[in-house]
Amino acid sequence: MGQLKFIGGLVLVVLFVSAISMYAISFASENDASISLANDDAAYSQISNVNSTIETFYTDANGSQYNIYKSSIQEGSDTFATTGPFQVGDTNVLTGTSNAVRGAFASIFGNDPRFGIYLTALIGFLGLALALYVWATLKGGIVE
Amino acid sequence: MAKYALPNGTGGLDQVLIDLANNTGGTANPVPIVPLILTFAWLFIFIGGVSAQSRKSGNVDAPIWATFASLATFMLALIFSILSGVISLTVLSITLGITILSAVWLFVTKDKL
Repeated sequence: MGQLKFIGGLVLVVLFVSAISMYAISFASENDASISLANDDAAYSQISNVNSTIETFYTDANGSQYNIYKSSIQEGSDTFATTGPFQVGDTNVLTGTSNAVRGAFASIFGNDPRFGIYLTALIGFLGLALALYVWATLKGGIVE
Repeated sequence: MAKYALPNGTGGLDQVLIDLANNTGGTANPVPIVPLILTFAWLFIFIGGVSAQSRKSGNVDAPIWATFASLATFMLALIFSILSGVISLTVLSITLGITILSAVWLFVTKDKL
């Protein structure tokens, strides 16, 4: 699984969470439902942050695209000198995914800090995996 | 003597669900009927799908069956949320949380986009 597939997976998570939350809220408003997800402050505040990361990711992805176009490879080398061109909106897509997962944990466990360790471990692992993929792309190898 | 108050069917099936969920019959043992229905739906789709796929192809794609089951359960919970008193906001939020976690499991572990 390469860097592009991993980032694509994180982007799909962000889009999925945005779509399903908007669908649920629209369903409740159009059918005059007595219960609406917009009334759950703990989860809704986290999930609403997910939408803002989509536009930020688009801007960063365009920036990384231009970085790749403008970059150059030294003679005798197989790849770029730095990882800059491969950092395709990594921070923002990871922030969006962490907000989505944080919203899921908030909806299940509420704001109980005792369960925060699971969220911390998951986000830490995703961040490490993303960094390893960027390094592997630069090196030309694979991530085990 | 019945342990649970039997529901009154004159108000229709939706009123039976509301009475069971709120236990308006007067006994001290409320039946969490809607969470049990949602749990049944999730397990039915997940276990049925996994076992059917295992029988036909020998491989099991658990993340996608978990996502299917979570989406179907979430849709069912949304339908329940239309009537007042059938489902609580906590249960609806939990179904959304489980759906999100299933999707994260699916998209992060999937080899193909």
